[in-house]
Amino acid sequence: MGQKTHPVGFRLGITHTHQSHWFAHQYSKILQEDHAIRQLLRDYVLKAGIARIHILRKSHQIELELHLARPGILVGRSGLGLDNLRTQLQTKWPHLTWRISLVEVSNPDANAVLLAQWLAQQLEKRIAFRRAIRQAMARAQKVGVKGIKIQVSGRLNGAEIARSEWVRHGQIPLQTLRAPINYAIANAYTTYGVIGVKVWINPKH
Amino acid sequence: MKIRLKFYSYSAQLVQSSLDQMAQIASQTAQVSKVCLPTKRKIFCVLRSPHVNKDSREHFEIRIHRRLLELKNASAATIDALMKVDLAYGVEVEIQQA
Repeated sequence: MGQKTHPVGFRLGITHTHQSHWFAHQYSKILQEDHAIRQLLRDYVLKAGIARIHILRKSHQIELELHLARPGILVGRSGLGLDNLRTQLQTKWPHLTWRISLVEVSNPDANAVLLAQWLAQQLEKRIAFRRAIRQAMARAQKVGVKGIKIQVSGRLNGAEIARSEWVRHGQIPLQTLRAPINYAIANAYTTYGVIGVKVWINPKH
Repeated sequence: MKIRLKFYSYSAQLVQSSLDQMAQIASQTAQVSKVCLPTKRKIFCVLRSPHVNKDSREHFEIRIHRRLLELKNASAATIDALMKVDLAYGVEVEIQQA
């Protein structure tokens, strides 16, 4: 028997949308640009907690829709951070007209991306993985989710032999297309190596 | 003057609605023909594994939906109106004068 497909890729036609919205005759060129933009944004806004970056393009116009847990941290005092970001983007890609909009994530604890990033950070701070997982699950359950599953793999607690552990509460029906499963991966870079974090969330309707 | 507008998109609904929108505006000042061109399907066959396992692969495809809008007896006013129209993201339009 085989293994599992990517729950988001599986649902792209239905229940999940793409994060880049454009048409391009020169697909690879635009794709690489998108990748570079996302890379820049992630490095720039680590602390504000980026859940999603939507890139919408029309010829020579580009709009970024950033979904953040804490948009205030990006905006800075009286919009300084935002202006800084705008200038950085404009200088790197001057041929485009930039529009940036920020969306606040309504429930950061029910968001797989943010939860995974948080967990990874905890692991990097050398927190016992079992406790960190329990804390993450508690956070999600507190705000109410139909199901949550967390998997961590690698040298857990610095062990010499790598292993994989996972914990699940509630329902995560991966085969059900109409279940909008929130899935995300994060990496924790520790002194012992990389610990992979996978989070599945079945949100409240 | 004859003008051709070619619409491209990865989404059939998007391209159709863009076509209808432009046609609506253009029909006020010119004669309009809506045409649906064949959809191009680009298929990518890719190895599933990062190393060896040549026999196990996965197919992906991109569908490019195309539409055509032909305008006869177009005037400068038509062109102006069309240029002002704001289309959704994800659709590209090519303009040709025949």
